[in-house]
Amino acid sequence: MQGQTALPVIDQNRVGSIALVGHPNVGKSVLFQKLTGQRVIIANYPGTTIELARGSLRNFPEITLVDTPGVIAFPPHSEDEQVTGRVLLYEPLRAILQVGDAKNLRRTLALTVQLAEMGVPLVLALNMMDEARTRGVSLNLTLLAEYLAIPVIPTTAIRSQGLQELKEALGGGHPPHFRLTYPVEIETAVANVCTCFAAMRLQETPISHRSLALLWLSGDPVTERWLQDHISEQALQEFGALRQSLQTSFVEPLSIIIQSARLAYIEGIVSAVVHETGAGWHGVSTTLSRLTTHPIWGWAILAGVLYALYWFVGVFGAGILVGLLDENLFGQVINPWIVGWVNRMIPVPFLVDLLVGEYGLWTMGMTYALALILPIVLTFFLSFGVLEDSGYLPRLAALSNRLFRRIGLNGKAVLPMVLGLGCVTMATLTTRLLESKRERLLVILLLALAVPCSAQLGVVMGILAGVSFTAVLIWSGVLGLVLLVVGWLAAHLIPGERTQLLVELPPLRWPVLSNVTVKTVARIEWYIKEVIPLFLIGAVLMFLLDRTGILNWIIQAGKPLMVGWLGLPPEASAAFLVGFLRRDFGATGLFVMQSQGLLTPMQVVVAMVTVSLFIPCIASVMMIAKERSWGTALAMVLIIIPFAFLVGGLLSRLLTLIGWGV
Amino acid sequence: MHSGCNLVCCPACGYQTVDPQRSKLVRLARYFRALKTSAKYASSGRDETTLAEVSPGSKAEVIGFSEEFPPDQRAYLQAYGLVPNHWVQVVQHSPVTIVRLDNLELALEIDIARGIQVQKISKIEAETEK
Repeated sequence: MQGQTALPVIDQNRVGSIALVGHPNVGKSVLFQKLTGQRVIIANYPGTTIELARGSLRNFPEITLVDTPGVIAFPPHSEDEQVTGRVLLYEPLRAILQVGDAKNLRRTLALTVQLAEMGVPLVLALNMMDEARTRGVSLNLTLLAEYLAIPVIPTTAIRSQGLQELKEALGGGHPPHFRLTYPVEIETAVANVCTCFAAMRLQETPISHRSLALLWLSGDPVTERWLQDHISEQALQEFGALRQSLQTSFVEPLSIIIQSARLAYIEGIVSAVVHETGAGWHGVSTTLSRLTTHPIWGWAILAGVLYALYWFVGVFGAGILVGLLDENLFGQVINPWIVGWVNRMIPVPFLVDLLVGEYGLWTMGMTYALALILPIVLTFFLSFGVLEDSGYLPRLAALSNRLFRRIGLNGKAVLPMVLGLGCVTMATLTTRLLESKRERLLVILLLALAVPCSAQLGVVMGILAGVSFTAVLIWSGVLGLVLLVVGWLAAHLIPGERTQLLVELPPLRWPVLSNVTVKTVARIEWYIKEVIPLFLIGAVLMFLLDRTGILNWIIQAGKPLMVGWLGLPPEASAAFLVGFLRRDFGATGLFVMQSQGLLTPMQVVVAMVTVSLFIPCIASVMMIAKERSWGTALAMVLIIIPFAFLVGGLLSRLLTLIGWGV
Repeated sequence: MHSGCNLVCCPACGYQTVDPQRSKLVRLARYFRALKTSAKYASSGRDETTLAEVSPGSKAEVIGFSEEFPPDQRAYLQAYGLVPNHWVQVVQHSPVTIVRLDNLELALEIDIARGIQVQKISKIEAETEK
């Protein structure tokens, strides 16, 4: 294979990884998957990759490929874009592989020029060539490669087209000698900064001195941080003064002056290499795209999507599949066999109880996780995968923007919110794609407080459907109200400005079955790793508390809160206790109580509202701490838990007053 | 006076003239005058305004950004391709403004659209530009 012989050539000059860089939603993760054989989550919305994924290049285990979050331009705009900036400045790189959208060359080249200036070997993969052809865009790639002095490879990654050529190009990569001339004042300042870098003996900069200087002049926060780490405070102040004095020479901000020079250069290239026939915006996909964001039809389509989601997850997943697994498979086949086997094989009653007793590791922990929760999450992640790949979610962001505006957010918040219906912990990580710290904090708070994950949603729906439809309405009404009121209040209390919506709408595409399956499996794997240990810990905790008599004491101690304030039976304390580990675990405990006929309809609704407003799970608290800080995580726990009991108690009084379900 | 009468009459001197509110003839004249004005506008074809004022289906040429526009926001829009001297086509304004540029669709809030200065062109000219 040519690629195999060519690749190691690069090693002689540079060490390090190859960074996959490009705009959001251009197919970086598809290429990463094809080049490494490693599974990563891929979707049809900008911002799918929020963390770095690493993998060895197929046939070359010593070469690491790094998949980075999409970036529009440098300086980066959001936290996930900053992750990409950090890779370029902090990671030793042997090459950069830019993935660009072939049908939007102007936008692609705006980033190419910035990357070419960095002086790291660069290869441009112009992806989605099939879509470019459909849209009537033809490109003179030979001329483009000549202009930029870098290899330009046409690819259609989803169909594995152009991958071999790409590997060969990576093997022959060398630092591009690309130099764009900026206005004379900027060139003088860049030369001064470069002289200072040389005087400071900053030999080992990851990117060229010139590019570092341009990023600094543009006000790039990642470069500022890098310089803080590598040069003295005094030198940094001198650079700051230089930038300020340079700014006085221009009316426009420096970043705009620099960007405008690049755009003017790109314009020349685009007019020479792009030929458009104007086939453009026609077809069923375009019509459907318009309907999904239409002020009236958009909501009708959303209602249809929600109904389909309810049917697939609620009726099929939580109803039929859970029934088959819990009642038939586990209830009649697996559990009786395991209980009998354990009783026969283990003569110690304490161990028998620990494994298959009321709070046993198998009978409580594994049965809850596998028979009750797994079918619900599986069906949710499958439907979410289809939604992601279709490109519907960014349209939902546009449609719902007005609603989010009321709670100080913009429509982009819908992406983590919808993902939160699958898993709040994953969704907390996704908040990185929001632009401001304030928005991320607000969405994390709302996710932790009032967005139930699919596991919990399934259990809650299962219980409430058994009571009445009014119970479902009360529960969702209270949660919706809490979401709006807390969102509105928090938006007014948390300082800072709201960011306005600006989102790219990718083309609507048919979801690819293999991709949906691969990512559902990846998510289920992630979920099982997170859920099963917590369910087992919960079961052991409950078993030990029960055995030592502490559970009884807790039930007695919790009586004023459970019975006096919430109007629930004292045994509900046990369910709320495990609710601290995972709120769906708590809900499952209440589900068991309800099926034993221990709860009235009013008590069911109050218990479900209270447990739904709890902190989602220990894993999500740890994720909040990782993404923000331990202080923030602790503050949220301290606000959310009393608030959940407050709302539950108030609802209990209100329902008693009107005499509903007493 | 019967209902079809278009005249107004001075009660003192008896002078009669056409009532412009009632006269079908005057309304017809006004209609033709408006048509002439719009044809004149179409022939010049240019009108400086903001993206928010461009009606759905029409094209406009970006000419600049409002002074109040934050520089990072502007740089972000420019990186997407919303740069001076380029055409955009407005798809809709509600619930958000959606524009097409090159082969890209962007959804943006109306407040952002208000900060983008454009030159409207007539549909005839837009077709020619195509």
